[in-house]
Amino acid sequence: MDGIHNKSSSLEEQYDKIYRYCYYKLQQRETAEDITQETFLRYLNHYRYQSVSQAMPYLYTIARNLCIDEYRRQKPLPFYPHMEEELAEKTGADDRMLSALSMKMALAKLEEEEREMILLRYVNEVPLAVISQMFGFSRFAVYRKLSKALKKLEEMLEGEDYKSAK
Amino acid sequence: MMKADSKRALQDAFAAPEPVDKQRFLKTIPRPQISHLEFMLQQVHYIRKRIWAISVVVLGIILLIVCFVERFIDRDVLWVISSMMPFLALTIVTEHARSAVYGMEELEMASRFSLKSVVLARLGIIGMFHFLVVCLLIPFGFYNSTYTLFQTGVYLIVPYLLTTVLGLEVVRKIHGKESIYICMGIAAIVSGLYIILSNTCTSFYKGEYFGGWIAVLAVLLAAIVMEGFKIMKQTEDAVWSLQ
Repeated sequence: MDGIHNKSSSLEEQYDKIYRYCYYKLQQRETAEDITQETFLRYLNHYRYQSVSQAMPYLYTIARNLCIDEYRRQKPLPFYPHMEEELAEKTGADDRMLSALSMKMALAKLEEEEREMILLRYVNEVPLAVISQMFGFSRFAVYRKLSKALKKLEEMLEGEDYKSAK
Repeated sequence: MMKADSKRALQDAFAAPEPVDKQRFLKTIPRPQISHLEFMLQQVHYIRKRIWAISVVVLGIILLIVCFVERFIDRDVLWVISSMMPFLALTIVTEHARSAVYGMEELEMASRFSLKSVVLARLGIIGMFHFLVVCLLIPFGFYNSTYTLFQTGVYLIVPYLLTTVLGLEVVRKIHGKESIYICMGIAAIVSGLYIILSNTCTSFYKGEYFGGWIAVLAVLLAAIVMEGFKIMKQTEDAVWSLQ
């Protein structure tokens, strides 16, 4: 029986992804890790057996709700508060770091919802069906929003914002 | 499609600091498991009550007819029991076809357990129940006859397996309620054939042809196993086509 527990590598992978998602939402390592662990504990408390792929929607929904609860207690830090200063300090950094910082700057200019969808879809590789379930949109609407966000991102990276930042 | 370097830049942009407590948490995480037996017992509740009811009714009818035949006709009742076996087999086929008939396959594939394990568990549960019913009927078939217990068992199980094999094949190939009607027809034909052959063909249950019965039983058992594999493969194909 391939339960969530029998695939420790998958479990570890899911842990990393949920943690990355929580960290993105809260921008605090310790709180993000606490919420990741709380997510798994709550999930395991309710679902005694489920395969990893089937667990994904539940894990993300629990994590998202816990992050929202955390917002209520404490206002989270913005996605990237000091990017200009950080970019200026990294003049000697390699290309990869520079492109990551440029990407972060561009991402910071997107809407919160667009940024979250991009993280889920292209970094955590969450299926469209799960994202649409989390946000309460149709799959087509999620697809359209993602395409629009990617286009904006591409324009920003190629346009004046990026060049001037460099 | 996103370029590889853009994807890498995105991953770097969303990178989080290394979690410090991950390994400890993963080691101490509660790992409740469900055993095979628990899973099977859980599935018993999901088998429709009418399946149990029909099986019990078929058993009751067989016992009534057996009493009637023994009291008034005074001959062996094996043919009566054998000719009722296809209707018992019909219940296992209809339960298997339930998802397809009601268009529930997609929903069941997205549910907590995989459709494959659910189908296997339910067929296994009903199969075991029917095996017990057959074991219960063997002494009745044996009574007042010249056959051994083993022979009686084989004579009873062959029509059951024949109906099951044909029924599962039909359900696998034809979707919708039509498959159930065809299975009913198959059960009626097999039952009718048994009544006719056992009453007209005197050598039908003769001991010297028992080798032939064993061969038929072996073929049917092999066919059941093959059918099981085909059903599993079809379920897997359906899961892939949904993704």
